[in-house]
Amino acid sequence: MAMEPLPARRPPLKGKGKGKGKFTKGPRKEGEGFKRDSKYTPRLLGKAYFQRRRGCPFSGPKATKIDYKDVRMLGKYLSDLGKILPRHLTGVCAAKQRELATAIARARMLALLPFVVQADPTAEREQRNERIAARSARFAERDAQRGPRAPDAAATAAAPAAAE
Amino acid sequence: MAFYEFTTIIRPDVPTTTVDAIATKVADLVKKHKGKVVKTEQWGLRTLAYAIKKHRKGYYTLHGLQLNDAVGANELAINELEYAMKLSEDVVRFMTVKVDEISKEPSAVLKAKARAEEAEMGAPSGAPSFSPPQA
Repeated sequence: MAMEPLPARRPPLKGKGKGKGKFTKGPRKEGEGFKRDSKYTPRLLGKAYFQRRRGCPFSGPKATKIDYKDVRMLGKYLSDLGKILPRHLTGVCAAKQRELATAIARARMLALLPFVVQADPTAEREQRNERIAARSARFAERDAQRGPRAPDAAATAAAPAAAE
Repeated sequence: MAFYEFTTIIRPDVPTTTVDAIATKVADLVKKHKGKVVKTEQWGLRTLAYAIKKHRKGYYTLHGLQLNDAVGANELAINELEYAMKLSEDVVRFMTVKVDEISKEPSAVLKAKARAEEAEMGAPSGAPSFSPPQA
């Protein structure tokens, strides 16, 4: 059985060794740069990924219209508690954020949107009950699968004990 | 020309004719001030996002108004309209918004309603979603 050749070791770093000369002075090589540079490609586990920077959804050629009646659209810019999301999360430009705030105020006035969403303890309890039900269902399934074996094992264990 | 969107919420425990009665009242008042109702939308009985005067639901009506631009006339008309709504016990909430134009298409609320109805009706009946290819 022949041993497979070991993978070639990484070639030693250029320079004088022992870490010296690793960081050479002089002009930067291409591909080396700061995060802010447009040429920079972030890598995660060796794969390139891009963080897409979206512009304001209300400006530009394909802009959506801000309408106080469009509850579905306005809902995208509200938190779970019904508060208006800050611009840095949604990417809306300042002028449109002001318009959006007015539209949301109008929708709230007409009871299309809530002023506050109160935390609902019953909903939480229901979710918890659902989780518990799912878990017990899982256990029941598992028990059903190993069902015929479990009593046998118990019986064989119990039988000698009873005989003695 | 000035355009306004005038939305009213009518309490849910009234006979259905009241909704129309208030719509005609609005139309009459607007006509009195030489304007006209360009568009009327009935959104039907909607659940309110919060209780208004202890009501959890209400009949929504959207009126698209067109008023002429005579000095002070629009304000007078809107004032009178809002005063009438304020006096009415069936109207629990109203709002006037000045708009640049009144779109001819149904509003987002009606579209959402149609979408919801389609989702409810379309799925169980299994209506054919495509037309067979023509020979």
